[in-house]
Amino acid sequence: MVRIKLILTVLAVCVALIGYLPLQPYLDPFARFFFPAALAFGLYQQRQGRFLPGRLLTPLAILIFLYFASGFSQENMLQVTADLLVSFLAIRMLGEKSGRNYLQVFALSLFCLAASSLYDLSALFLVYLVVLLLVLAVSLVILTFHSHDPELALTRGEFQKVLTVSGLMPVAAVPILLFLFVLLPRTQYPLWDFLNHAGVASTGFSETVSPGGASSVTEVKSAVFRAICDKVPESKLYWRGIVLNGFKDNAWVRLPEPPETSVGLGQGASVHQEIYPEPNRTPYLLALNIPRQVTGVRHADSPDVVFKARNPLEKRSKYEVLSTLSDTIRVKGGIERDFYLRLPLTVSARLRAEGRQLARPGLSAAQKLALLEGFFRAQRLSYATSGLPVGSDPLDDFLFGKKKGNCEFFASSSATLLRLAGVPARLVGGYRGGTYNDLGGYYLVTEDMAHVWVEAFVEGKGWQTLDPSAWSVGFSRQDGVAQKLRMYLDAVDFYWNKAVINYDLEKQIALVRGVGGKARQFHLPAWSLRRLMTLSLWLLLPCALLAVLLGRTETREARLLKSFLRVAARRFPAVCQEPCGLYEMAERIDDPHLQEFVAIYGAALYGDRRLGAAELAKLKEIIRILGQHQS
Amino acid sequence: MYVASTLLLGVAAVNTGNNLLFLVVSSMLGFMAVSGLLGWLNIRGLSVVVRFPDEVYAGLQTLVSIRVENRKKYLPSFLITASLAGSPTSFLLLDPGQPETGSLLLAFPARGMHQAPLALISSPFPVNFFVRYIRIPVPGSFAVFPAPRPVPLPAPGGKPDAGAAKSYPDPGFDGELAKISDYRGGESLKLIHWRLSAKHEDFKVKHMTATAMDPVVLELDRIPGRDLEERLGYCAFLINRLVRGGRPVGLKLARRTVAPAATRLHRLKLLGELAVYGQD
Repeated sequence: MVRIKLILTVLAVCVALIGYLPLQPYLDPFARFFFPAALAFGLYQQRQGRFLPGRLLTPLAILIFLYFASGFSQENMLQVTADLLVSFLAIRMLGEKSGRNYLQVFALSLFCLAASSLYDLSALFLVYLVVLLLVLAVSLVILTFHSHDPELALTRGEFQKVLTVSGLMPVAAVPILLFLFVLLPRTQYPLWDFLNHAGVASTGFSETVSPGGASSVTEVKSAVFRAICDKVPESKLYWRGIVLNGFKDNAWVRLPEPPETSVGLGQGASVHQEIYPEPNRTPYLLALNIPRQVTGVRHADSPDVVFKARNPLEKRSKYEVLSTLSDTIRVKGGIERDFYLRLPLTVSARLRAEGRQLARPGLSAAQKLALLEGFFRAQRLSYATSGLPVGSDPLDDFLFGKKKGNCEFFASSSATLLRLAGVPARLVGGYRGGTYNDLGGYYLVTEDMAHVWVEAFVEGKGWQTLDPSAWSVGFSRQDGVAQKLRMYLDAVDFYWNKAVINYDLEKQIALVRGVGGKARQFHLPAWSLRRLMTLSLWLLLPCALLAVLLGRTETREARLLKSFLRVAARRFPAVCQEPCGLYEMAERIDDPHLQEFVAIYGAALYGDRRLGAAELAKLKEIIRILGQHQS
Repeated sequence: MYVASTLLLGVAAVNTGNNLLFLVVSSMLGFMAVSGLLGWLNIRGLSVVVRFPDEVYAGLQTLVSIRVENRKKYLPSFLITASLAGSPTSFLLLDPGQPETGSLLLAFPARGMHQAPLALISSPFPVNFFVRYIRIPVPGSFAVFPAPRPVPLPAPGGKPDAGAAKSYPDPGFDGELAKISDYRGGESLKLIHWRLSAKHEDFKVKHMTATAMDPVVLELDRIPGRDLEERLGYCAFLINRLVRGGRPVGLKLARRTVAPAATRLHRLKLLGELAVYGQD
């Protein structure tokens, strides 16, 4: 026998844990440790059959409320709410539980899970939600039995039936869930904006480049954005974000760009990208270098080919970009050279000397670029993210001292050298590389891929892209098994974001409208017909299976009669040729077995009752005997 | 609480625009819809058959058996409460095609022919948010007899008394052994106790009581009582007592007369006559 009370206790613990676990990493230490302690103590009390009285628990709840409420402010409203929810859940697990208390546990757990969605938007939420729904459905059904009689005990068979039916409820709710999820109205902008800030992550994308600030750079592997596009050559994987064109003291920053007219891009393949950025606070729209056109988000573009969204992309969103894989931006009517030749506050003597070498008269810009590359390679500079030069003149230390640095050192020093040589130069900030996910057909770009490179102005050509980091020793990326596994997990995360987190009804309606418009001009190509036929064949299989199953829905009496008539028709073909009733058949055929069948079957049929087990067995035996006689 | 929680999370979802909250709200609404449907299905496809006892007396509690069958193909019915005239009985689980029987105590206030009352089937399954009801017609009718009112029985001699006088059974041939005496001649030979006679010089004869008693016809109009219902009550009592005592009882009503008999069926017939008397 299965005691309902015991089952309900176990289920309540499971529900509470599912509520607590997703929220656990974000909790105040008190709430984080209070819950498991309360849970363990509650279970101990359950075992002892004694519980803390309500007159103790209520003041405890009030005290905890006051403790958290004292630290309440508009900034940490979510934190306080989460801590309170978990603490109340813990207190509820401490006391004796009536039907109402169990409902409170279930509701609090659900709220905890809901609150966790304001911290973390990962696909793991779906796992928690599915498990919670399943356990909650069973718990609510068991609670109904508990309300009927708390001391009730079910047999194993009965319990299995209850479990099956209650477990089927969430499964049956899935289509309604999907339907409602699509249809529930969304507001254009959140009314309580503060709740969403917790999910925003910084991309590591910086609007200033100031090498020498830190001796090492932490490589964070969290995603910055994903771009659905065709695979492009590794050497062309530069994601342009921002152009830093001037200085604030020694740091590269973006100053208001001087007027110039970019008239087009150099030769190169066009690549269409659908970009899904992770929420961040920067307004710069990233795209494959060099972007030509951005759609899907309100933005402003500038002559140095920087696209800036009107609002920071703090919510999950997407935009589309058309890029040309070129390394040249053509400019009409020249540029403001003086602006792009300004120097930082401090430039070391060795750097100035090297600049003078490059600025020798008679050299063209292209020759100066070649000389610069030669100088960098000759210095045997290596790419590193730790042990970086720091101090008052880090660029000098990088080029002539430590000889190692990250992209910021390479780009800053080369751009400065170019400016010293009289070649207008600027830095371009963005990302370099990307891991192509074959499963999803997209590039995943992570924070550790943040990169800075240089654009130098060559008269007659325009702004030329050059990446000084590529001149370093050992600047490459490696793939491995872990990388592949990571790609699979990322594909799940990507589709979760695309289908659930980014879902927007208005976009769906627009899509349906678009499809409707296209459907009117729809012509079925030959390959589609073939695919359609294959699909139909696959669909036929489950349909046929369903038909067989439905066919079995006739009663056992009807099935028995069918097999009887079949056997009788074989054995007495002459009599059974013409249609006749059962009794008529029995009169015509002088066979004791047949008559016995008709007598038993007829008695049940005309007595308007179902055949008993013994009668059924007897009739089957008769059919078997009739069949044997025939053979 | 469930509805309030759903509304609260719905408001939170709309306010934050967080699709995960929309997912939670959708799942809660979906679950609510499915539980409603399951609750509706749970009390559907049930048939109720009620077996009333042969003797139901007005105003007296009677044990009635109720048989509930789940006629659905696959889905069991859980936590079913079947009520008749406000009296409930519960079934924890009704498997398809396997009827379960329960019993309940019923009392009907008035005599007469009654249609079986509608059965009220209710269940809080699957979740105890609300209880669903359905009324199912119960086939058949039954007679409620007048409630018997005790009345002093007349002595065998026909002289009415307080019932304290001892009654002597009439001599006969097929009743119980009353006494043994000497053979006086004239007694039937089959009454001679041969084994006992062999031990004595004289023949001994068995004196048996008679099984049959004088038939009596109860005349409703002549039975004392303040009103018809009281007279019917006295009459019902007399019929029960006399027929159970083995005496053939007949009944004379205003328009018809029922000949005396002493069987149980006859007694029920007489009570049935009383049940519907004056209600035609």
